[in-house]
Amino acid sequence: MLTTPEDFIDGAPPAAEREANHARMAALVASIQSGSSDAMEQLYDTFGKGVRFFLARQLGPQDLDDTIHDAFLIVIHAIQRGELREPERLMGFVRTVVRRMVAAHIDKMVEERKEHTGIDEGSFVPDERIDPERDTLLGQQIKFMEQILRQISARDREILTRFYLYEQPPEQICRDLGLSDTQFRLAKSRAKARLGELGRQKLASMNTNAHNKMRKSTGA
Amino acid sequence: MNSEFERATIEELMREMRTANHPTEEQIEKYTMGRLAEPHLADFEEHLLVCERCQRRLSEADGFLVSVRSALKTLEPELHREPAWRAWFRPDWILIPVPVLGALAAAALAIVAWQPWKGSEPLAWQSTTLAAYRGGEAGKVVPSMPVRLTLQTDGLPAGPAEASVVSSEGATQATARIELGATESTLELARGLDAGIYWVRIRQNGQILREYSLAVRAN
Repeated sequence: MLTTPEDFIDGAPPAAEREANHARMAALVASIQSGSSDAMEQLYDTFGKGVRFFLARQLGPQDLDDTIHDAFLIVIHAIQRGELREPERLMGFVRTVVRRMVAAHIDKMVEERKEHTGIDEGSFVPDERIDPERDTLLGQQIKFMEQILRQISARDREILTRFYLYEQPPEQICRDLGLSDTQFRLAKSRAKARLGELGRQKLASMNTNAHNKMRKSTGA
Repeated sequence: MNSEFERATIEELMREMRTANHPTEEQIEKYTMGRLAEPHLADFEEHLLVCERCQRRLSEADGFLVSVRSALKTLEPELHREPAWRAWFRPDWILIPVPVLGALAAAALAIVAWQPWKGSEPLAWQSTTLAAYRGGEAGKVVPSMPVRLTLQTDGLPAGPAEASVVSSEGATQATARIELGATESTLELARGLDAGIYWVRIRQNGQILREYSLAVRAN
């Protein structure tokens, strides 16, 4: 039986299971160290999507493939040079490499922006994350959310405003508004549930409209 | 290829990781808001590296956060706006004879002089606890809302002292007498503060005993 990261979140997994997982990671590391191209491919298969997700979420789509490639090169070279002192912690090592790459990229962006502002103050630095399709979807989602928030009570809205907008800690919100932890959680979950409900309704009406349009155009 | 390593074994490991227990909604929300701390953060991100289902869940949570923040920002002024029903009670909507209006105005003046609301709690107080400033994170509140500051005063000599709130430009915004001796003292600013960085200082016999930093910003 294998353990999962959640087992670590909820409590330490049994030592025997942890050791079995570690042994498997260590075996993969040993194979990469011996130069096995199959093992390198396996490393990419295992972590490729996750690394892509992580980097895309933090840095946006620009130069994503190159950044992923660089991340794997760093991991593989480190393994081959024997720098991964605890092979069983391969997953943690991959995470650290990716986090460092994100931090380095952000530092670079900040420096570039500073330099850019120095040369021509107030000029526009393009946002790498601009994606018209995503922006349209996001715009729709914000409109849904406004509708939902207008329907909920002022009290619930104040709770959400404090939590999501002002990022006040739940303990402070509960104390200031005289709420129990359960009431606080309920207000949040109600808003989320209404978003899901309204989203489904909107989707259904869009599908019906599209269906009607198609029937009209085909004369069916 | 190393004899210890078998592709099937690693695939099995990953498959089980993907299909086993996943982080809770609360953990995902905390992560999205940057509130998930180590060691949970490491466990969460390691799981994320191999679990596509949780990657989708996180994307949804990110989307929710962005949309709820934007929507709340747009609607935030409405939250403090006068309720519609109150508009019906404005004098310009009510046809009342002048002598009656005069009597009402006199009564209103009497109430203003009496100030029965004085001492009652304002509607929305925000509060924050300030620890002694050591270059770390400042206490945070939002502008123009009544604020209750809890000052950690443990270790300070007992007795009367003065607490003052000073802007980063050096302008004193408020002062109050406080009594030291307990682990905490409270300072209330009913009118709130404008956006900016402030210093909260405790003085006793003219000497600054402790200083706290306070950031007032809308977001």
